[in-house]
Amino acid sequence: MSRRVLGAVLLAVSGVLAVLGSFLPEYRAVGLDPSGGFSVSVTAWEVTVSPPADGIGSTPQLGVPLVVAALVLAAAAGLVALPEHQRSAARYAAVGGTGLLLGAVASVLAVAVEFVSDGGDQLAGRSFEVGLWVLLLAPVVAGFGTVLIHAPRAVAGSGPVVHVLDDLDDDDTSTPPFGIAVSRPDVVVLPESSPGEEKP
Amino acid sequence: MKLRAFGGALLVVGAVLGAVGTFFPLYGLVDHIGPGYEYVITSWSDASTAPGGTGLEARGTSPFFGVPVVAGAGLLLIGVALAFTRGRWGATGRLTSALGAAVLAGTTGTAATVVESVFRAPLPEGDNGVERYVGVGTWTLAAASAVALTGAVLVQVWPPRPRPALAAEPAPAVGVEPETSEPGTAEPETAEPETAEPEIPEPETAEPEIADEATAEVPTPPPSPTPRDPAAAALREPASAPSADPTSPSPREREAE
Repeated sequence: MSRRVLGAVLLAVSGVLAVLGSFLPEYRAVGLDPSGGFSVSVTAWEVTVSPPADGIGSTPQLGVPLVVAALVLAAAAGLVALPEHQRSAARYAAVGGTGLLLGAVASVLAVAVEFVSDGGDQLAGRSFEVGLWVLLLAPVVAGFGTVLIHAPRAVAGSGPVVHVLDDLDDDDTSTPPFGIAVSRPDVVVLPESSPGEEKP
Repeated sequence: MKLRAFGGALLVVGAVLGAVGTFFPLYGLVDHIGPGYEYVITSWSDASTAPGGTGLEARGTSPFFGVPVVAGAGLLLIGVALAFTRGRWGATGRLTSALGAAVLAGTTGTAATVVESVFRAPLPEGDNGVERYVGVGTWTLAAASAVALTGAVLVQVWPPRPRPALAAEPAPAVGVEPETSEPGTAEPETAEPETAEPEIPEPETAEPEIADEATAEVPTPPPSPTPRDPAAAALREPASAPSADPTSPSPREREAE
């Protein structure tokens, strides 16, 4: 697998990670009373309260920018297949998607940190969850992919293909595949003549 | 080049707008009932007027959207600093400015979802006096993203479109080989036989293909000022008609377009 193909795969993987992480719980908290078993789990789309309760309010749809970034990254992975003179399309799409993902994940991290570091009410045991780690991994993978798709593509040679049929280890290695080797004494060096040196 | 310089200026404006916008409120809540309680959230902190208080007092923390916004603004400035240099560093700078604009847009989009959720939340029972508003900071961040994205597009150096090879074009029936002639020199050579005729005012600008047609079908163009042959005169007529327009492009110029 060439480096560019690997980069495209990494871009697609990071998009999948971003979407996957948005549906996994980002952070959670449990109630102060351990016997109650009250817990709150928050994804990028919804808040899940156990046991179910009313009056939760609305959840920020943090997953929307994540999905947009994942779509741009998936498009970039596909655009890698374009011919050489259109290579800029994949590069800019990858850079743009990585940037969008960086900003969106950093913002989700900001929301999560603000929730977990906020203490003082009826919730304790605030912790980050697996979704946040998956989200943090996604821009790293996207960054590697963006760098890798900038690798120069392998250029096929345009000259004739030469198959060396002889065993190179035998004694007769002085003859090149085409023609006869010209040794130095056989080369006739013509005398240099300038236009001014005309014979009278 | 001027468009690229304008793009660079837009990147700087976007970075400044983004950094400044983090200090303005993203959204706020005002309780009109009672003493006038107000709660304001910026990209760094939240603040509120305590009942009976005189002004906004810092209350606690808020999601630090300011950190990725400032990071994106820093990327924009680094990108502008490098974007107008030559070679590899210039390309790096232009990609960096695109990255910074995208970071700014991604952060603004996520902050916007938070602001939107505030407006979607149901108000508590009996709390009809609460007014919610979108703060200046949200609009500033949105403007910064739009300006920075526009600047990041304008600052790029787009590669020239590949042109079709000259060999693929059909060769003219009579003419000069395009590889060895300049666009300016090909025209007077083919139009030269017509210069003897006095009724053609500007023979140098006559189109070569029409002049060739005239010379091919009439092997010996009569140079007399009053031609007797009406067919020859009619054939020469189109040769003089396009010569009235000296700006008409030559076939080679049309190829290039």
